Amino acid sequence: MTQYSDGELIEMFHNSDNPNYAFNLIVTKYQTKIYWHIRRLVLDHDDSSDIVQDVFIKAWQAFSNFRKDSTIYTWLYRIATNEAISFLNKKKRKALISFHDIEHALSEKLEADNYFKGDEIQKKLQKAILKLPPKQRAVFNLRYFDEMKYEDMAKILGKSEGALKANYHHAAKKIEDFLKDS
Amino acid sequence: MTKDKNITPDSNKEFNNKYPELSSISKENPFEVPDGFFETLPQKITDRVHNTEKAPLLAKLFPVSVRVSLATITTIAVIFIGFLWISKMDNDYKPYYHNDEYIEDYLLSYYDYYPAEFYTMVAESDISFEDEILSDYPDNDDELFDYILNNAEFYMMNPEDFLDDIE
Repeated sequence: MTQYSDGELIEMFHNSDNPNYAFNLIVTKYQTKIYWHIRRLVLDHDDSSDIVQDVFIKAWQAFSNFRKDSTIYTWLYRIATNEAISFLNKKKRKALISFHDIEHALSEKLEADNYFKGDEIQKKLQKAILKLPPKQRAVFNLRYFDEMKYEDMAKILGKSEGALKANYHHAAKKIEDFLKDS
Repeated sequence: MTKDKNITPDSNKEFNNKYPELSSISKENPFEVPDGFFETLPQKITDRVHNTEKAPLLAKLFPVSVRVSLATITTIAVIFIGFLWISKMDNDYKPYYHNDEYIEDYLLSYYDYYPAEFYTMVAESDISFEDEILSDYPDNDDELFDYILNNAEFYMMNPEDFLDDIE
């Protein structure tokens, strides 16, 4: 399949007779990255599947106002991060439990997850990441796993590059300490 | 998405020295998805997009203000009907002896058999019969005499026996 640039896809969406087709190409291009970003934040596959669908539905509803000078991927990552964090907050409110307890529940879920194929040390890393607050978890994942530029992360998370750098190293230190201690 | 070109072997080395435990762990994705998940996801999203597109049509027909008004009217109607129903139930199950009409009927039917007791009971009760009802019943000796004769005839009794009977 031809890989269109974001600019071409935006052009196609706004000017072709079939915006559905253009949007479908956008979904196909970004679904994997967006899904994995969400999955690393919420861990569960079913929850991630629901959230990724919500993300693209929101994107569809807002796409007619999308500015041509923006990049689709930072915009989608921004929606995905907000959706995932708001999902965790809703879960917290629903259960009337603190993030510490959610982290414990997610950690238990990880133990029983049939779709986790990592070894014990990778499981330990995921549990260490769960110790971070959701937004810091997003910072760490985007930089460590996706190796995303701070400039793009700043657009996604609405923080300054300096703050993100400090946040990332603080997260890495917390994880390092957890791995050493456990 | 482009990866950060500033992440160089040198910067990686620095990071690895600073966080050796973390750096020793593989960055390979440890999660999996069910078979065919990414192949079917665009269709699932398309289906949901079409479903959400139908919603605005309903929203146009019934804007929020109309929906709120309808909900309010329905709630008030339900409460009103419930109130009427409960009131009706209350009336239906009201003890019969609290019903003046019932007492009147009872006393009037009693009169057919025990007129003397009827007068006593009316005199002692708080029930005030309407004039036209009482006018149908004997209120002087002549009328009472006629009444005794008529009823004695009706019951094929001797008037004296009938009188003894009602006394």
